[in-house]
Amino acid sequence: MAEARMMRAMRTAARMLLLPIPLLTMGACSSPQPQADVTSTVPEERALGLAKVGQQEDREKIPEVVVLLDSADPGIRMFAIRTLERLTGETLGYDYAAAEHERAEAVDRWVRWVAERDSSTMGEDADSTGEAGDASN
Amino acid sequence: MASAGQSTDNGTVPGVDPHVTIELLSQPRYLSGARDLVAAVSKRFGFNDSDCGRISLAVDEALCNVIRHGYDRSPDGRIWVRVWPIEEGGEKPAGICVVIDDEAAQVDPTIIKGRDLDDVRPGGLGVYIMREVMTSVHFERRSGQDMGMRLVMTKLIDDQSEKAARHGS
Repeated sequence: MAEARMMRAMRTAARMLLLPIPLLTMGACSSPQPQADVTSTVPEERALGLAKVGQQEDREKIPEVVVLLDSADPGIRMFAIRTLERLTGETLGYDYAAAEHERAEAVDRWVRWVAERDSSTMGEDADSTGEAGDASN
Repeated sequence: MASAGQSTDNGTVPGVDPHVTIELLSQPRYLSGARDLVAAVSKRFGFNDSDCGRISLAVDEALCNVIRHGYDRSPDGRIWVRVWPIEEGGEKPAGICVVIDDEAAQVDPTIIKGRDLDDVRPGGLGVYIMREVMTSVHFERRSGQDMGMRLVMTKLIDDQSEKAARHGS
């Protein structure tokens, strides 16, 4: 136990000694930084992607965020519903820590919400097209 | 049941022996066992399933942070998870106190900050999750030790805070 503790202390000391080296070589050979991407397979990148969607209020990404409500990772589910709440003001009763069947019902409500939003948007598009047509007559 | 006191909000470890202690190596394969045990104990303390899931998530994030940042993924570090009920004189516990100790390099606790979600940068997301999920989260250096950090987290069953209301607790 004491030996293991000493080894760790030595590793820490060695890390501190080596600290300036990566700082000097950072430009030449640095490890890739996680990117913000809701479709990434890397959990941290998905979480950062969700945060970015919320920050930019990117409503176009809502369907992709809804998909992440079904994530196996509760942390991702938490970021997803927090993002949707920020974008829409709604949770539709979704709780990222609820039992799977309860979450599934709430996800269904979100899927319907997206479908209704899309159909109403299409309706508005059609109306505006019609108005434009009327005006041209 | 021994009283865990009410001084845990400022990070003080309860002055009685823990009711549950888990000791594990800093290896990801032991995370699920540790978090499931804490969730099961939370259930016995009276938390609903949803809050048990939240406590489990906070413990998971905390242990991941110790493995990734504390021990730099070294598999031979030791981690201790200790659990107490928070007693306030009622028949059932008022909440849970979870303390996680390690022997990793000590850092200034004030630099361990969870990011605001608007501050989109790598790092700090785990701490954000812990602070979001638990009633209180407190980091400190382990006193009397050259190495090691301590994390004290509490969650009250009847948490009336704004974030708890948002969670529907």
